[in-house]
Amino acid sequence: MRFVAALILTSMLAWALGLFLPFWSLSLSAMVIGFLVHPGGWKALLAGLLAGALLWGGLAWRIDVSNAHILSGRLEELFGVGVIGMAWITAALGALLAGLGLLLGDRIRHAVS
Amino acid sequence: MRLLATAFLLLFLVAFNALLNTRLVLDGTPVPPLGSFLSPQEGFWCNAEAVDGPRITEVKLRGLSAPVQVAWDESGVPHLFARNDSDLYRAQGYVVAQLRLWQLDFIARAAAGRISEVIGEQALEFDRAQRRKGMGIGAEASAEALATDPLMGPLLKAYADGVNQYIDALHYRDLPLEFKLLSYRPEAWSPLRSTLIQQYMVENLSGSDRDVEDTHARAVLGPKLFDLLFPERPPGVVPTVPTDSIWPFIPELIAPPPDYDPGTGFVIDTHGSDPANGSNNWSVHGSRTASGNALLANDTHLGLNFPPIWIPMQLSTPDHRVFGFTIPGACGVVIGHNDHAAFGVTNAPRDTRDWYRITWQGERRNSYLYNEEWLPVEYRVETYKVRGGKSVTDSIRITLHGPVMYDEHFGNVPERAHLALRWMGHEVSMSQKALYLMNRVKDHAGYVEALRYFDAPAQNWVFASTAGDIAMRVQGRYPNKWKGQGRFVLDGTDPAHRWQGFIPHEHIATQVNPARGFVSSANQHSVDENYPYWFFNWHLEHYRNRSVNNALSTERHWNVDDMKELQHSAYDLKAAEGLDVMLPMLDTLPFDSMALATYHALASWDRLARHDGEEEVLFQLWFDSVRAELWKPLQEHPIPLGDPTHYNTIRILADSALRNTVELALDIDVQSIVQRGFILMLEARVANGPMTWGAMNNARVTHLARIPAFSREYLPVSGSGTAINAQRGNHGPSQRFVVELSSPPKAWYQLPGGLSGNPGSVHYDDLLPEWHSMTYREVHFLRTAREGADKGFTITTFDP
Repeated sequence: MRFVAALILTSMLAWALGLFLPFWSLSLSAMVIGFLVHPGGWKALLAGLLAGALLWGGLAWRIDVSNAHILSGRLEELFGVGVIGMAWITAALGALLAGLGLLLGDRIRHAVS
Repeated sequence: MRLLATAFLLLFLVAFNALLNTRLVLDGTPVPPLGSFLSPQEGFWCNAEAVDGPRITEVKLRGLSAPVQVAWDESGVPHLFARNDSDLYRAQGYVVAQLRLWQLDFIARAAAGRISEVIGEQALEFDRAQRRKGMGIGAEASAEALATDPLMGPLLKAYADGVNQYIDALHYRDLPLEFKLLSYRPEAWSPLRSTLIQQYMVENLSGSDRDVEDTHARAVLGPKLFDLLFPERPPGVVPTVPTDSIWPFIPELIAPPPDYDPGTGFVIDTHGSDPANGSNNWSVHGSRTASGNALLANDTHLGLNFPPIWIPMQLSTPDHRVFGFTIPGACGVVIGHNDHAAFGVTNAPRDTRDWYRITWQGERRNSYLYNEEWLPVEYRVETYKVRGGKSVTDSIRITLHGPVMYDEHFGNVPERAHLALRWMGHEVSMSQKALYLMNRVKDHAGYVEALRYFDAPAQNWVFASTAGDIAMRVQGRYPNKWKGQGRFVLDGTDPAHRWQGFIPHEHIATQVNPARGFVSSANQHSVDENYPYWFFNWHLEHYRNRSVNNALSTERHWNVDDMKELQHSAYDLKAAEGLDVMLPMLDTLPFDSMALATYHALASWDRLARHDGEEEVLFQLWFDSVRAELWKPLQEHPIPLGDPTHYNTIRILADSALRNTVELALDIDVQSIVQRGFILMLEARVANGPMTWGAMNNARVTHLARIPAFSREYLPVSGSGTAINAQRGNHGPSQRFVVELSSPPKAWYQLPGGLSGNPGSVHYDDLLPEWHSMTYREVHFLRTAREGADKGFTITTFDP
């Protein structure tokens, strides 16, 4: 339950903060949720990874579809990452930022309790 | 332990985020801060425009006196409707920024010599050359003069304000992609940055010469051989404005001073622009058209870039409406038509860039000899804020001739003579005012009056009106030179070597409704020898202009489709004339079957440079090899002397007397060079396999920052540098425009790219496929925004 709550709350908070704050708000949101929800250990990491991947990957995928893959195609050529795709790279980075953030929040809670 | 692990994780996460927030340079390649760049809420994803997404329909634009409406047609072309000029140009500034902000910023920076601030050390040499040639001197003088002009001063300010209101509203997420990739922000716009972009065009179109090479060549070859190899006016030239009768003015001629020997040993590379920047334009009188209306056509040959230099748009107030092509930073359009007339440009080559040898006093070189006096130099101190490096300061000496471009600090040749540059680009330019008036032109008299303000870069202005007039004017502000002045390095100590005034506006070569029924220009000699003022430029066009004239001279009645077809003509007159001379020179007796087959293929070729054909490749390989061998003695001289033009090379090949003189002087055998060239061409063909002209020419459109992924290569374009369709690598027709002067006029256009500068927009390159076919878009010449709405165009309203 905490796992699902952490996943959903992180996505929601990160999306909302991302409207005003730079990219690091993803780690910040995950950390806050990790501290508050405290899913514990690997569950925290996994919830964060999933939340970040779903949020950034989902947003990127939605934009990519409406853009008919025009820009991501050009950037894939520019960075030589055509095999992976910009949306997957975005999802992976989002996963890392949120996963580590959520784990940290969880560990801080663990340390202070 | 638990605390320690948590602290470590905290540190790691902070460091990771900090790293992702940092611009890195890996192996010389800048990498943007990846966190912000990849974030779908602020990074590059925000530049991915929805293919069928709605445009913004309401914009707040402070300073307007009334709402302005913009109708965006299906190509993304904006049609602006304002109540007055000030509102119009404020909105134009905003719209241009919306479409092309990075291009605006980048070109203005390039003109000002400030690229190293963005990309670092590797652009420092370029920046120094820009500033040393005095790009800033001219742009600043023009901005100052325009600011005090009661008409243009406020309008340029309104334009700048429009750009700035767009910039001010931008967050990181809204920045054009290139700013994110290169990690910098746009600077505030100003009228000075507009004049810098105009200066960029002046540099592009009048920024080259061969004074130093010619000085060396004359000294080495002697005047007789020099004149044969580098004639001012070879036979067979047909000027833009031929002398129809006696010129109706009394010229103010200046007598040349005694001969001067400037010596040799000057800097080799004088940082000139591409001399092939040129264009075609023509207008056909109604008596020679199918409809009875005059026709006007214009295509401008420049570097083909993303985004394109041109932006098609309509600009309207209750007093006028004009459709045409603007360049970023300019109020109004440069090429276009209104309800009464159409107008267009090609470059009018003229030597307005001269070098003066400076004689210094003492080692410190802070005074120079002029008119038997030592005059103090002034210094213009330039600071280069090199990205990722130390700032560099350069003190440029300014003489009464102009900036000393090459001295012990620049040109890497301390022992060489120092040269000051005198260039029209240093003068005040009021060309922006000419554009304003030309956009509102009603008749031929208005065209002449508008051009009174057009000084640089000198252009062949073609004109046609609904009243039936056609005209051509070789418009610019030209120094009134004595015969030969500035062809070679000049004496910086002699007052007689200075520019001594300008050719009066009334004495500029012009042609109105000529008997031949058309006017045309393609960067050839502007005038013939009967024009009383001395005309010279080192680089002039010899083929496209004759192809246009030959076509237009045929007895027929022209229509719009004929104009389009002519703009796309791939007939290579140079290949035709070159082969007519070279093929008969071959000794075919020793040829094997492949050589004979190639010979016959070239002999029977129709001289069309088709992208999927091979003949143009064979001709180019052969001709290049012949030229290389012929002019090897010039190339291999310790001081490079430059090559004769292709036109003069073919003329020498064709004329046995000239050929003999050259053979004797250079100790070469022309026939065997031509024969050997043919064999070398065959060998290259065998070694590399057959190649299409398209593969060799590689017609391409290159992103302004040279980013391959944002560029397009190997486009199926026929034509060559010497065909009317002047396609040469990433250089070629940067727009095409055809107007029929009905009432109101109807027009068609092509653009190698799209309206948007955003690589994430469907309008980035959507017009490109049409550009390399015969399909033209018809101009929507709207009367009101409402008319646009009725056609289904999105309307944006700018509210005060």
